Formats: sequence, C-alpha cells, structure tokens
Amino acid sequence: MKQNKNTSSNNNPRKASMQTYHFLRSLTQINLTRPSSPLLRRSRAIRRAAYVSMARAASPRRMWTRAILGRLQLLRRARLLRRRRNYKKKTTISTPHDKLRRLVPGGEEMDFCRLLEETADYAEFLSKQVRIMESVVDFMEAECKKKEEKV
Amino acid sequence: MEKEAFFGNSTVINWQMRSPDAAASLPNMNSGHVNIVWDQTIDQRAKFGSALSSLVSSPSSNPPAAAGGGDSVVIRELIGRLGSICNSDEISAPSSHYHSANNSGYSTPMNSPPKLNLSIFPNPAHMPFSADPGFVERAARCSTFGCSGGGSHGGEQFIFPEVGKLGNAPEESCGSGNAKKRKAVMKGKGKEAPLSSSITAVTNPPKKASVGGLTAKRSKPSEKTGIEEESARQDGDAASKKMEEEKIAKPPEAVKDYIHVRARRGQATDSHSLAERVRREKISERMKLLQDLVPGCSKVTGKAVMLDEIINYVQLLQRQVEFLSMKLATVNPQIDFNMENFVNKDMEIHQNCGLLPPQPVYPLEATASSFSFANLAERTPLISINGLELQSQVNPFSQPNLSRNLTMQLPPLEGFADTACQLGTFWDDDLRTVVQMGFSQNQENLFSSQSFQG
Repeated sequence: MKQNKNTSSNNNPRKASMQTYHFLRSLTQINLTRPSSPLLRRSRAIRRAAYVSMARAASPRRMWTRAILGRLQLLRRARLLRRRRNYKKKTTISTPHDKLRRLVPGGEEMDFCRLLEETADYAEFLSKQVRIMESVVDFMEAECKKKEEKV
Repeated sequence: MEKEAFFGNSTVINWQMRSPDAAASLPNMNSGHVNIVWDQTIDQRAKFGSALSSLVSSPSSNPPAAAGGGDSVVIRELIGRLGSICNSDEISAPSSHYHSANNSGYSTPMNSPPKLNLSIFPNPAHMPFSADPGFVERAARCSTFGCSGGGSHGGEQFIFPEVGKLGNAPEESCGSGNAKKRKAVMKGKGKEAPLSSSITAVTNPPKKASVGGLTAKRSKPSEKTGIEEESARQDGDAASKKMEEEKIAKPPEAVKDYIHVRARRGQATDSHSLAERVRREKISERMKLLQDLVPGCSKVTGKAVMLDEIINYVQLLQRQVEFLSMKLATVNPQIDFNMENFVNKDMEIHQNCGLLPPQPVYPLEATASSFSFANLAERTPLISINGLELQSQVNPFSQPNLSRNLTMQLPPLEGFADTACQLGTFWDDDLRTVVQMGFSQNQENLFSSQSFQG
C-alpha cells in the first residue's frame, strides 16, 4: 500500500512538472509574441496553451490528448473550418452521456466505457492544470504587489 | 415469392385444363385418386407425409425418407439431378409425380398415362422422397410449380402453388388422414391455412379439412430435427424464452454445453450477454475510479447521479481553467515575464514565505541546499535532500499537492534511500532542462534571497 502510494506520487510530480514546464514555456511564448494583443485573444491563447500543455504531459495514447493536439493542428490550418464545426456541434440534443462526450475532447467517437476512462484521466490532468495555473496566478499577483511596494 | 408461385401455378393449371383429356378426366381422376389414397394404410401415409414434410421443410432431414425406402432414395436423387428429363422413365414416373412439383421442367412434358398415377400409391417403395438437398433447393427456387408427374390428367390434383411453404399437393392428399390425427396435437400456422384451403377447394375437395392439419404437420418433423430454419423461426420465441430462463438459472459456462442446436442458437445471445456483462463491469470499475477522483462523489450512489457529478466536476475544472487564463491574461502584461526569472523568483517566494515544506522538516539543510543547488555537479550525499528541495522549488505551483507528496514520501528519515532514488528518477530528464535553463541566474538570485532572509 505504501509502495503504491509512493509510485503514484512518484509519477505525479513528474507529469506535473512536465505540465508546468510546457505551460510556462507556452506562456512565455505568448507574452513574447503578442504582448499587446487584446485581452480576450490573450486569454484564449493562454487557455489553449493550458490544454495543450496538459495534453503534452499526458500519455499520447489517450484519445483526449490526441483530440486536443489534433484540434490544435486543425486550428493552425484553418480557422474557418473550426468555426463551422462548432456551429454544427451546438445543434445536438443533450443527454448526460452526450454532455460528457462534449466535455471531454475527442469524446464523440468513443464508446461509453472508453469515455469514462478518458474522463478520469482528463479530469486528473485538468485538476493538476488548475492547480498549476492557480499557483502561477498567485505568483504573479505577489510579484505585482512587490513591484507596487517597490514603487 | 409465394404469390408469384401461386399465380404461376394457376396458369399451369389452366394450361392443363385446356388439354381435353385433362379437362374431361379431372373430376373422375380426382375421385379415383382420392379413393386410392384413402386405401393406403395409415402407416404408409404416415411415412409419406413425414417424408414429404421433411422434404419441404428441410433438405437435410434424411431419416424419414430413408425409413420409407432405402433403394428408392438413390433413384430419386438421380432423378432430381437429371431434372427435366425425368419423365421418360417408368420408375421415375411415380417419383416424378412427387418431385415434378418441384421442377418447372416437369410441367410441360407430362405425357405419362393415368395408370401410372394409380401405380404410384400402392407402391410403397416409391413413397419416400429423395433427400437430395439440391433438389429441394431447386424446388424452392422455381416459381412455377410444375404439374405432377403422375400425368397431365391426374396432375391437377397435385398442382400446388407454394413451393417452400405450402408444400406439395400429394403431400396433402396422401397425408390428409394422418394430418387429421396430428391436428389435435399440433398447432397449425393459421396464416397459411386460407391460401392452401382455397386451392384445395379447387383441386381436391375432400381434403379441405386436412389443410390446417397439414400445415401443422409440416412443422412437427421440422421440430423433431430441430435444424431447420423454418423451425427456428417458428420456435424463435419459445427458444429465446428458454434461453433466457437458462441464462437466469445457470451460469453462462453451463449453457455452452447444451444440446448442439440450442447451444448454437444460445451462444449468440449468450456471447452477447457475456460481452454485455463484461462491459458493465468495466463501466462500474471506471465509475469507481472516477468516484475516487471526483471530490464529494464518494457518498453518491447511483450511476446517473454520479455521472452528473462527474460532468459538473469536469465542467467546473474547465471553467476554472478558463477563468484562470483570463486572470493570467490580465495580470501578465504588467510583469516583465521571463521563464528562468519566474522559476527563480518562485523559489524566492517560497523560501521567503516559508512555504517550502522541507524547511521545517530539515531546517539545517535548508540553507545549505540553496547553496549546493548552485553547484549541483559536486553534490554528494546531500543529493536526496537537495533534490527534494529542488523539486519543490522548481515545482512550486503545485504546492498543496507537493506538500502532500512530501508527507507521503517522507516518513521522516526512514525512507531516505527511497526518496533518493525517487528523486533520481525525478531528476533525470524533464526538470534538468528547466533547472539548467535558469542555472546561471539561480546563483545570484539565491544569494540575494539568502541575504534577504538573513
């Protein structure tokens, strides 16, 4: 039991570190490339960066990681296409299963069993991502306060 | 198909009626034939009927035919293969009387004399039918039901429309007595009854009564053999019910070793049910996994509620990500943001705020570690602790997580070696890059932070 915990905790920080690493790198990139772009676009870019960093950190066998990364590629290729797709997706009827399907990236093509598995994995990484982002925000705010104090 | 066959036959009938002999002799022949039929012993009729029905229902039901007469079977098979030429033979004539009904080729060349018709029935050797499957198949295929081989005169009696379903006229005529008997036992198929009865009304009136029994009769041997599709269709409901009962009663492994035919039919449902069971188990497993993962979901019972909880949780997380990204977007531009800078400063924060968990645990090493971090390469036995600190420093974003990790990983000083190797693995690839990136600045920052602390 102890060992199990150890291994799990051994795995987690590593993945989390990868996640943070990817996220921070993309965050710096965003800051470097478009320092003065509008807020909404920036936030969207950051959110995308968050998801992508999650997907990069997780195992590539997962459907949701592939879906996210594939979506990223699609986004790069053609934005119009994506918009049309989103428009189509909105017109579906929702049962709880379908809701979950829509929440988990790439969930529309899975069977229910797989979907649950993917959901578990996805939720894990998502919670990690949230924690990472919270800490980053905390850090930023602290930094801001420092600057203010200095000034 | 049936209807087509029916119409085709009616035309055949007309054609035969047109021939003067046939038209004239029809009533007479009818009566005479019927009489002959009724003269038959019941046994023969039984054989006959069963053979016929088996022929109609299934190609593979050999036993009844074989029981009727062994040698004739061979001949019949031959005849069946010969097809349209069959009429020429004397011996074949009686058989063709039965078989011609199956062959469209028979309908035209029927010139055999009426006496043959008489000779058919007393001849018990010819009563049974060939079990040739190809023959039966052909019979099923042909839409125009040929006139009987007994002759164009007597043939009308034996014209019968529906090849596959309703069977042959001779069957009806000969097996009528038998059919009456069976009627009581069997539950005939009602839907076919009216059609056949209408036809028999034209051809041979005295057998009207037997029609219902006849259709029923056909079902009986097929049930016996149990292989036929027809029977499968007929018994479909009953069989499935049985299977369900078995499923409930026995474990799935036991059902596999059932009677062959049943098992084959059952296996399909069984495998489905097995697969379904496996799937359900998997789903419940994953649900449990999710239950552990999603906070506040452990008390919830019921799949739907749990699913709702999971959905809510994932949605919440996604919204949080969205919100935090917004926040980051607003906060970001104010700060001259650099990654290496960030890492170092984060370390500073943690050290300054005393948030680093190792510090209280290993207060002595805390200062030393920050220095040894600068000269990572020369580190010797302190690695484990230093590594730990570094982990927490580089990874300061998951503070709550990390503190938990540390408490779990470090039962103080006992699992020292453990943590050492863990950290070794932790160090090897990912974080080294991160750390090395900010390496040059680390020293300054750390020193400054130390001085700040001091």
